[in-house]
Amino acid sequence: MILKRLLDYLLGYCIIKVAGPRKERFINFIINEKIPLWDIVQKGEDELWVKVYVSDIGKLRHIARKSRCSFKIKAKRGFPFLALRAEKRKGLVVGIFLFMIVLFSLSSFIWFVDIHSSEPLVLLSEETILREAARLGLKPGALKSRIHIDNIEQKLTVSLPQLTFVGIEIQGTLVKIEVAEKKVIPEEIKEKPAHLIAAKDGVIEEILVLAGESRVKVGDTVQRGQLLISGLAPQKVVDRKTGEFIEQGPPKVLEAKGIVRARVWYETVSEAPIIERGKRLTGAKREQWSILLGNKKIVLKGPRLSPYADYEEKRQTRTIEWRNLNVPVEVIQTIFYELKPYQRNWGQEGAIKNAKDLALKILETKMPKEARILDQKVDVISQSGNVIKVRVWIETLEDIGEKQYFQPETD
Amino acid sequence: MLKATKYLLEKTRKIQNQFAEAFEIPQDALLNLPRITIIGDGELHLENHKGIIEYSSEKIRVSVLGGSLEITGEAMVLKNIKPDEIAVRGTISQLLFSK
Repeated sequence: MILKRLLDYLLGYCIIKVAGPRKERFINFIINEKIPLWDIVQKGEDELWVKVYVSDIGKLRHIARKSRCSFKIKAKRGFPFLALRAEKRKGLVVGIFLFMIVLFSLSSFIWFVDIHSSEPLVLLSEETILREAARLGLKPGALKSRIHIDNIEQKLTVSLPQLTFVGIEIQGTLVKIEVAEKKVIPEEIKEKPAHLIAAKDGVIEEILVLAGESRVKVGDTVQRGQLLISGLAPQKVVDRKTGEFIEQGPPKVLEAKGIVRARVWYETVSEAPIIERGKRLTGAKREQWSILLGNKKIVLKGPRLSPYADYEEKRQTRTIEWRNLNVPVEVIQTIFYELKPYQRNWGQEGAIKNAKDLALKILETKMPKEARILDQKVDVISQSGNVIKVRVWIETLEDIGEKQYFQPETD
Repeated sequence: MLKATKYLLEKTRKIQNQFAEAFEIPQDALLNLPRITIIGDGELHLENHKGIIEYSSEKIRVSVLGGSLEITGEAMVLKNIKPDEIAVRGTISQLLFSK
């Protein structure tokens, strides 16, 4: 129906007033001529208002004469009449067109250039990027059609090497330049003079000196804190006469580097029961929902108290929050897990193994990850009733070097 | 002569009627009978009409096959008129067929 209205409007129609004693005849004639007409309304005593297309008005005159009726155009509606009126008011039409042209032409320029970066700019300022973009033609006042985004993106990354990514997006008259700066890798820490000292007691198994001068030999027993590789390396020169190295000048100060592997021993005492007693979850659980109103707890669902004699409970509280409003009501979900005592006989062997495993776990926290276990020994110290006590001893091979920075003496 | 034509006309109509019944064809399609659709008391569509006899906002008379149809009501408007269809809008109170 709206479509028909639209069509009527575009084609233009007239409301005509039909008068005369034989109006029905007039309408029947129109129908027979296949002239479309609609909205026939009786107005007053002896009048009909009918809508017909403008293009059919001419045909009506003939029909009117034939049916001895008279009709009068009451109103003209639709676009053709509007156009006719517009012709009389040329200024208005010209103004509309001018406005459109101005709008269109102004919107084909760039008016704003914005720079966006997900992280604050460090290496470059926005001004430099804007200046560079302006040099490539991307500036307020530039014609949009002249701008080739891909081209400018590429040129910007070339001319500003501090940028890894440039993305240009045109949104109407606004240009958004999305940039990403190269990550600045902090300058390497300057070599600080340092010695390499032993972090643990041990027997040296191998030494690999990368920088500095070693002060220990393979097979040496070292104590914690003992100097392994010195950061003060004497400068050696070959003596021409004897062919031996001789020290010359002040020692060079550097950061000692190297790998010093040594055998290290660890020892600990641990215990484990032969018959283990404890409580264990059975897997049964019950859920309880309740709300906390002020200090009063109201159980909504589930048992009021724990249904199990021995239990573990887990609680989760949720406060009701609506926007910024904090309702003083808490919803509490409590889950009771049933516990049951159990007993397990490990036997002597099993208890020793358990104690050993426990000891190893303790020791593992003490040694570095890359340590290799060479040997291990387990001694049963005592057995008093149910508990077995063991001493575990292990030997590992690990890097014991530790940096110790020092302040070089200045001359 | 007139009587004979009338007789013949009636005879053919009868045969047509039987034909339509035999093949289950809707009668309005075959016999050009008016088909009226009324939606509530506000809208009426009449197909297969033979012209308007009388129109006022209280009474519309339309010529149909074998007589005329009188529509009585209030504030009735002929919304749309085509050579074979009429759409009436307004408050309809009565329909009357007459020979």
